Amino acid sequence: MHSLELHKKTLLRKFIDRTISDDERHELEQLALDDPFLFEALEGYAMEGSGDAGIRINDAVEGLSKQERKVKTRGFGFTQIASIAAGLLFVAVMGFVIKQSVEKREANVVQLVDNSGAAEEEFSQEFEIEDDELDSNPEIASNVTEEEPTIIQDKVLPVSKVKISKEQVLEQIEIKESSSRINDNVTIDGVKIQEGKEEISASDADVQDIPRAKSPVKIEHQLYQNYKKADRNEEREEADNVKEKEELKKSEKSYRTVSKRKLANAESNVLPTPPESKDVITRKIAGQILDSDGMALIGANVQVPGTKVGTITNIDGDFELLVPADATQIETSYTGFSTQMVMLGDPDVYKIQMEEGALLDEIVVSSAVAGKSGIVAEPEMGFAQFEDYLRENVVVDDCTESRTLSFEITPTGELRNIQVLDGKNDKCANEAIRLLKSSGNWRSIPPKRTVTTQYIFHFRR
Amino acid sequence: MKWFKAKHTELSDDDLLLRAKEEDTPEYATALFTRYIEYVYGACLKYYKNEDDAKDKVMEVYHRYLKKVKTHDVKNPKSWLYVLTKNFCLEKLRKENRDKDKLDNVILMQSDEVFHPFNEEEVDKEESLQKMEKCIETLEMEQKRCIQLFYLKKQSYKEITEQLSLSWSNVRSLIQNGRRNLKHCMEKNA
Repeated sequence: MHSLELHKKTLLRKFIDRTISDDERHELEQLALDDPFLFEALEGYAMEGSGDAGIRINDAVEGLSKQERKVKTRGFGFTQIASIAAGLLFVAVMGFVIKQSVEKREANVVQLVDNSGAAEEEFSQEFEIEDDELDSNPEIASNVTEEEPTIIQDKVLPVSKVKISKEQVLEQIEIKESSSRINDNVTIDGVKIQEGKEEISASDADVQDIPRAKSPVKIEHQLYQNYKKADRNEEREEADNVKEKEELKKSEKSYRTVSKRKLANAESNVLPTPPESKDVITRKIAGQILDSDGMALIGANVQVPGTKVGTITNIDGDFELLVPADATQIETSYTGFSTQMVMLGDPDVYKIQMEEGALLDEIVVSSAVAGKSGIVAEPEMGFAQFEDYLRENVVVDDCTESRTLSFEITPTGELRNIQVLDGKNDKCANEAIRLLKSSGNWRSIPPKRTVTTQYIFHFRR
Repeated sequence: MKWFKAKHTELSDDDLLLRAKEEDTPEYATALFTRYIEYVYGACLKYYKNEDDAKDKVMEVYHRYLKKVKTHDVKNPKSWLYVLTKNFCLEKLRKENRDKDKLDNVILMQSDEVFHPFNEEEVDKEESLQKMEKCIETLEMEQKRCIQLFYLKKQSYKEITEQLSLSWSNVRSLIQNGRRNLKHCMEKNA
């Protein structure tokens, strides 16, 4: 190591430890003039609270040697390579074992399927017996049909078996079992019944679609009837099938008309938007809201009356608002100031000075006291705005007490049965009633219920 | 304060670097880094103004250093480490989008001129001192004050920066420029 560097290092360490003498410090700083690295380091150490820098540096060195050791072991890779190889071997063995067990399980499944084939045979025989019973007892049949459609559906299948081959039935049962959609099963049945008879007018795809438009129970019932007829009298089968085909055609038609109607509806849903978009044509207005002294009002409300178009002023009292083109006025309001209507003219920029409202008559409202479960209703505008509304709209100025009103809120939000609870039915109570009535609808919490609530109007100067 | 014991102090920077490049183990590279770790830490402290951050950054700088030390053609290990540290910190700071103002104030280029105006072996002391005093008077106001405070009153950078309310790098360049001007002045009058 270069002697000068060693010297610098010694001085720097002393500097960090704060054991450096003034002369040494000056020497170090002189050296730092030509050593930007040292200079920046000195600047760093001159920072407040760098007291235990030495400890931290020692920590860092310790950390480095740890890192070094890590990297070293990475260099000598024998044990690591061995462990990786072992890992790979393990994975390979595990993969083999898993594969083996899966194959075994598959074999089991095949066996099971074989067994189920045999069971299916017995199963269909059982149905035939049951079917006879049902035939001889139509009452039960119809009862069962209505009450337990799924069972009946199972029983339809053997019929097909009679007509078609046994394999197909088994196939159907399998499809049926695998499918969770009743309609799909019915569709298959329907197709099968028609097969082997006269020409089929509707395409498979159409036929599949039709039953979805019907309720499954009905179709099952219909199929059951078909089955009865077919089983009893094969000659009448053709007539039935013609009938059924007609029905299918009908339902197909109705399905088509429905879908047409739906389409029309969908279109009509799209169509009405253009007239709406006419309303959307807007103009941009801007302005500033000031108090009577010309000071900006921050957070004052600007609204187009009767709409939800509104904004509030920024920190400079400025606002910008996109209003419908047909808007003729805007309403400005601010707590403590009387609400003001401003007519909209040709200019797009407005300077609005608001008058301070009569703060003498302040209405402070405790809360809607109601029931045992706390607040059961609120004004549609919310309590905060409701209170603002009360403050801005109260007209009597000689009420000093409070009045409690009890009223009922209908599911539609209207107020009914307004009563003065204090019993003092004077002009203050009337004012309270007037304010309540003019404040708009309320809503129950949770909504759409009939609730009775109370509200205390505090009149205060 | 008991400091860690530096390894391989018998080797020069260049030798250490050579071995670091040759050997598979990072032993020599780490030794070289550790040799200047007080610098790295101090510089990180300067940029991050926080001791915990500085310590973390030292480790990160070390990682980058290890990656680059083998591949880069390094002429002067210390200067290289300095540039690496500085660039790392500036890059990170820019990324963290922190202390923008402080970053802007950092003077990125500084001359590394090495000379010693007080190498007095050839010059008669008495004579040179008189000359010097004259020359100092010719300096610009700020340079003069810095030179006086630094060389004559032997004040520290910290004291000067506080006294003149200048930044560290300002003080440094004022002293450097003042020193250069002094040298020119004295050479002229020689």
